[in-house]
Amino acid sequence: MTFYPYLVAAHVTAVVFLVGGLMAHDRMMNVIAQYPQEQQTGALAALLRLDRHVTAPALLLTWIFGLSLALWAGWFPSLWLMVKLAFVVALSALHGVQSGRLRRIVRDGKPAKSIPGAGIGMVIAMLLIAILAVAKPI
Amino acid sequence: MADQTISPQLANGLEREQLKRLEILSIIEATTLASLVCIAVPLKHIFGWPLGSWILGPVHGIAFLAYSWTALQTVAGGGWRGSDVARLFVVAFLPFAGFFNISWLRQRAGALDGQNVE
Repeated sequence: MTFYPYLVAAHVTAVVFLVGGLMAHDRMMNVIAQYPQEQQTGALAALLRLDRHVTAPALLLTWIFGLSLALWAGWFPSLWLMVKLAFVVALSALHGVQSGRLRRIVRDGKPAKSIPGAGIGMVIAMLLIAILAVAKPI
Repeated sequence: MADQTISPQLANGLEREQLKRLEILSIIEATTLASLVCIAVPLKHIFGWPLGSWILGPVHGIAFLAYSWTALQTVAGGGWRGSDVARLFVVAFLPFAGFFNISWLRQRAGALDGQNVE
């Protein structure tokens, strides 16, 4: 019995929580932005907790399980993985910027505002990541 | 939603926590890089003992990613000069350089008492 499928399952689970957290952050920020500024703080603090307790740990686990899989199966020289990694780095960076902006909004009391184009960018990146990982076309 | 505001103390506490996380990750990243470069790599290439590199390589990889991501998250919060941002990312590539972040980040955290980040 090989450990590999279980590692894949752990990686996919972490990815689901990561992308769920990223999408929830984007959609919730859009909703919060519609409230008057003085009523936004509670929801922003909840979003900060979601980011800290769900999305950020999911990101770390995604990387740990993903790199373990790539090393285990010897995928590293493959082109599809290199291209996939570029999208994964972009998604990770987006999460870092999203999270930093949220902290600034909470800290400085500025009005909530989501990153323009982040939602559609995440969907496209995830679609390409899934194609690269499952179909391995290159 | 009820009317709520965040106090300056709470806001500074948020920033201090972030700087503390970055400081801890900086220490971990610098330690794993120094161990890899100064111990594991010589053991592999001079004494033919690859196990150290085999273990420390991925461990440092994760530490590097965690530090870089936290640094990005920190500077995305605003209040950092371009030279400070460059310094945060350059030290991740130089053995022992991460240790020089410690006092610098503590000074920044100390400067938060009674004021916002510069």
